[in-house]
Amino acid sequence: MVYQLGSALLDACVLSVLASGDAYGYQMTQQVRSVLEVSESTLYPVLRRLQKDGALETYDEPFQGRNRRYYRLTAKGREMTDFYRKEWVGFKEKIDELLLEGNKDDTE
Amino acid sequence: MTRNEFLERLRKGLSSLPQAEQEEALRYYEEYFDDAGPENEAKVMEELGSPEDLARNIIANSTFSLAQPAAQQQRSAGGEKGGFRQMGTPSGGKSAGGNASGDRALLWVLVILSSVVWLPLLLGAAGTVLGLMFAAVMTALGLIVAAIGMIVGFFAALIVGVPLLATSFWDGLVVIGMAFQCLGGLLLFGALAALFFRFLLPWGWKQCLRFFRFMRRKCRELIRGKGDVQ
Repeated sequence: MVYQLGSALLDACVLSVLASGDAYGYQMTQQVRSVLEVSESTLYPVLRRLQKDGALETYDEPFQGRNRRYYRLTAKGREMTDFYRKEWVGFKEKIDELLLEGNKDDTE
Repeated sequence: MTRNEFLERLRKGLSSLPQAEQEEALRYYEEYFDDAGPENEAKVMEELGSPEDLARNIIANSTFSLAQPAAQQQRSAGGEKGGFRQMGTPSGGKSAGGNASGDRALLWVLVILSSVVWLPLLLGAAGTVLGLMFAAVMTALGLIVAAIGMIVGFFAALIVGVPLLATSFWDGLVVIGMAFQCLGGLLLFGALAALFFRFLLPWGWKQCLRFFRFMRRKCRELIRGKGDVQ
């Protein structure tokens, strides 16, 4: 991966994954890693921080004789997800303008 | 290394964190291993890197929150294994991590040393404000006393003057005239006292409160502003 994910973008990805459904740590990590090359050690701090900021909450569900901890978005988390998504669209447009539009002129 | 050895080393690495934080992190990674399954144990450990590095990663991140955007920009995540560079333990690292306590101590030293300058000024200002307020209150009370005096004078003059009309008419009139002077004085002082109590004193008191609130806010801003990391 040439471009690095800033912490805000990482937050946005985690929040978005949870927006489509509650998940437990391992499951979420696999989902993110199926798309992006992030280290497995990256995601716990992100989850913890989002939890402390009130964007996520956890609940336990029994599974195979132990408790499995699930993460889900709070109302604040949903707000943040919407915000991050809007911001991404704007940001992407700007980058496209510089990165892609410029090239178009070259090739024509 | 087995998974239990990994977790044990992780636990040691996290020992500087508060108990609750340690338990949260350990629980997360225990479950992580459980969910990955024993067949993936080695792969997970390889991906996570050394438990000591992981512990440092967790510690460094535990002091950040969205409320410190400036500090956040210094981090980047993902892409490379092991995350990002850090300066060992947070207490030895840059103040973005958690050296706020060191900054605060320094700030207090400066405050105390410079008190030779700001303390007299502050006391002077507070003294002036309170002094003015005190003067206003005393004036208002004085007006009340004067009004009472006028009442007493009014009745006293009447008591003396009316009988006097009988024995010495013009003297009697003079004294009754004095009674009316007192009445006039009573109205004047009474009206002034009413104005004081109705308008001047409440306004003055509000200004005092504003002044003290202002000073308190400025002090707090000063302390917090310097204690935070910019």
